Amino acid sequence: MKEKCFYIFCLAVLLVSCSKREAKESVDTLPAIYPDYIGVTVPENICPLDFSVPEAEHIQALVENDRGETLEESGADHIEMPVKAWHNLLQGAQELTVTVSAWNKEHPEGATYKPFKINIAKDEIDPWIAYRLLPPGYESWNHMGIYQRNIECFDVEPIIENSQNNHGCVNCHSFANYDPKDFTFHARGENGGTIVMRDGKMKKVDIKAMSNGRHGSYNIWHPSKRYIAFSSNSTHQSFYGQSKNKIEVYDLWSDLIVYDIDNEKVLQDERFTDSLNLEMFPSFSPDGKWLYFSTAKPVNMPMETDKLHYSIVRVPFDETTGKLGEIDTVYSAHEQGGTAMMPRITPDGRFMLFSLGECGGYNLYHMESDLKMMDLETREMVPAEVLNSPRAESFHAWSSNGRWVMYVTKRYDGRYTRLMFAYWDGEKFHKPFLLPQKNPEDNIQLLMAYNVPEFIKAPVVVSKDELAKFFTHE
Amino acid sequence: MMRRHNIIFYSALLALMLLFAIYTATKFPYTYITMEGDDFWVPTKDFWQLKLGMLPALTNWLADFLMQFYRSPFVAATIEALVLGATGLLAYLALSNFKGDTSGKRKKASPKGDWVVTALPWLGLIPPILLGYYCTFNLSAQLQCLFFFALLEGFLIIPNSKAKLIFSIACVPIGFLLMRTPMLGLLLVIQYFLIYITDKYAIIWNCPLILLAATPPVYSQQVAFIPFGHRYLDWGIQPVSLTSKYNQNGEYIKTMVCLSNEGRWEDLLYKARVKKDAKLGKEVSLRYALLAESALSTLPENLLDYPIRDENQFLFPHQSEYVASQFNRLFYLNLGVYDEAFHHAEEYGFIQTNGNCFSSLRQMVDYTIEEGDWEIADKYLQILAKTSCHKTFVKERRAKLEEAKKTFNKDIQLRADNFVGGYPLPIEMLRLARYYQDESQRKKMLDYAICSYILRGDANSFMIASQAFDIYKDKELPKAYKEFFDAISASNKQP
Repeated sequence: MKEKCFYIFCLAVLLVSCSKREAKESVDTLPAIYPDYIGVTVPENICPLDFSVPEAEHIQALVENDRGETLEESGADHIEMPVKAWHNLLQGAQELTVTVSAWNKEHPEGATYKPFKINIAKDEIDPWIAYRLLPPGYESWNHMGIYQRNIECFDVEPIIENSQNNHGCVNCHSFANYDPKDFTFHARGENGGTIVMRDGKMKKVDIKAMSNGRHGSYNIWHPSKRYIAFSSNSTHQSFYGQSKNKIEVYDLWSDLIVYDIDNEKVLQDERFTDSLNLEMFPSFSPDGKWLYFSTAKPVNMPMETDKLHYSIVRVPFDETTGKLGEIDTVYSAHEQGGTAMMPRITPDGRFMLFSLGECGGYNLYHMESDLKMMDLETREMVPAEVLNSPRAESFHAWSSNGRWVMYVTKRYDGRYTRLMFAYWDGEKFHKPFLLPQKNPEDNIQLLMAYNVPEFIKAPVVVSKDELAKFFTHE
Repeated sequence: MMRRHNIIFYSALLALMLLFAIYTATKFPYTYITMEGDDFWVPTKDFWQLKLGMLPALTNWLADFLMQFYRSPFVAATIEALVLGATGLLAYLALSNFKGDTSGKRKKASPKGDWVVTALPWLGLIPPILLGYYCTFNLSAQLQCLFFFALLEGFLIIPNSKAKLIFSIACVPIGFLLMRTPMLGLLLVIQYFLIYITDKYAIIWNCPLILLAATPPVYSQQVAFIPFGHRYLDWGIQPVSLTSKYNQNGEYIKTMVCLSNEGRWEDLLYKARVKKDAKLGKEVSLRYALLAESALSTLPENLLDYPIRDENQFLFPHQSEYVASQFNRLFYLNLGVYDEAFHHAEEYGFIQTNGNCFSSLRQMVDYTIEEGDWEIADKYLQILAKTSCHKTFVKERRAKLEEAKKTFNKDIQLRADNFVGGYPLPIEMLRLARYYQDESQRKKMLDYAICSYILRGDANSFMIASQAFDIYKDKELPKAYKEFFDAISASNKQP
């Protein structure tokens, strides 16, 4: 008899725990979900937008598309939606309506919040992204790496981690035409160098030896896959005793060089390798005819940060010879103010997205810096306020169809950069959304910062041992 | 007979554990406290993935979990003593099973009291003694040895060869997460030889060894990269004797750090003054003593009592290693320059094995609350709330954070000209002093500047600095300043 009672009790507990709860109240406010996915626009192929409701003990979500199909999920502190069911729901839909119920101290009997919409854009996003994860701060690190993530689901894998290069720094990765087989990155430290992978074949290149001591830093592939433009930077950091920006990152000198992969030589133009100007963040136009970059007159750094202002210029690029033409100023810091960095051109060549701060270099370290967009035909600014926050935004990249922009932001805590995505419909940007994680709290728990995010069409396939051997054997 | 031997052995083992726990807890309390501070453990996917890259993953994960409880030296010493005791016990059991019968059946003790039969298991005391003496404060190494003997004993008590083979094969993937490859290799070789003696199909016993040879490259490709040099031959254990200078100096420095953290400046001064032996001790002692003098506002009085040559001995040149990083953090914390204290706390966390540590996170919470960086303080508190031993800390700091949000009144600029480390120390101090309204903070900064000029023998700058901020205006000068001032006056009077 006792045994029977025990089994009945267990069954009852099981049934109660599995059953759907009914919220007793309805609240006329939107739920305070994390991340904020309310009213965002997402691509059809994005992974589930799992979210949490802070302080909640139980959450239920009903997601309904405009065809009336639904997906119901519940969780203790966050909602995790099944990937396949989520994609089925998004397929061909134009919007989702999400109704959230939460049980918390304020509403112990549960409250159903006002439903919110998620817009679905028809334009797909490139399925993979590559980015660097590193400690956010200063000079030291123990672990860092370049990783790739399938944003149609939650799969993350390392491309290279610094355990493969004697715990040196790995940085400055870029891809040619979003192709994972054409890829470069730089590894510092013991046996370091620039790794160039073209058509899936890797080699280590000593840019420094080919360019009178100029190493390769920030880089961009020419669409022809024959050239890689590098800026070579002597980067330093200074720390404020007390200030909101905390740190000033700057170059004592920086130059622009172009590596010719076919002929294995570095092309240098005296105008861009002398000490009269600083040059950084090169970027080719998608047709390969222009090379954009930021440039400024050097000042006494870090004392004269206020006087350092980068402009964005472009020069014609001759694909056959690798020669650079006359300078055309695109954004004049002298006339338009601020310091403009990281020009990235839309795949149709029409617009330029860049980061604009008040002064100095490396806008990511300047709280006030924002993303701005310029119409290159009219040279007029296009509204991009929706992308920005009171904290820094930077390191932006366009998807291959030019409809999605990915960038890093410090909006959440001012220190740990996180990845945001925003839809560009050709006329305006839509409300951006944070990179979804299976457990939304991963974005809080992760003590690493994202940087240099890039879209890729497929994952990079590389043997870890093969890559590590470049840094083990000379 | 056997029972009496067991009782004697267990008594000896217990005595050893007690001796170890009492000795280490009383002689090295701050080493244990620092181990907790340097540790990091959080039950998240990212942390587990990080540990997968640090072989042996499971043992390191477990060691990190246990070290959370090291904030009390007695708890720490007890944990280590228990691990050593368990290792000794398992070694004893394994050696008891060793005696000739490899099929797993325990051989009864010889009625004649064969000395080998009775003496061999006593060798089980050697592993805990060696571990306790050479791998103190290395919980991961201690756990690896524990698991080594656990798997050996597990193998020995299995009754038949087939089951032993299956166990041995299973030992490879499990053991790979529990111990370094050479130790696992040793275990498999012992298992191989034990069965080789009796099993006519001994050749098949090469399977576990072949599997072990293939595991590191496969793991490296599929799970987490293992550097080539760490795959087969790296034991990952560097023996350091318990009584070595390394441990003693370590304890001394950690004492300095902990006393400073606790604001026990008088105790620190006492410790720093009596330390006179090692060169490292002198360098560290001098700096900590001067820091304590500054914290007690007695630096201008007592400066000339110390063998200080120049201003560079007030702090360490900036570098990311234990001594310099910790000291420089405390130096700027004493001045109330929280951003720079944060800088060093974060750097210190980065260089720890897990790329973060509890002490660093706790300090950063405090410093960010002071500087009004609420969101970052909140982030760290959310992380600490996930750990096992920070419930009280999180509760207290959450209350402090809420209070600070109401009362915070610092006017912090976007940029400033108060760069740290960018100028000679006296100039840095004078520049910083302009940004701080708090009188005691300003005075400490000014004192460092004036003391630096005294050490330089720079009379002009001394005169200018001592008039700055009106701190010493119309007041009696402290001893060191007065002596220097008198010396200047005397030299000016000379024809």
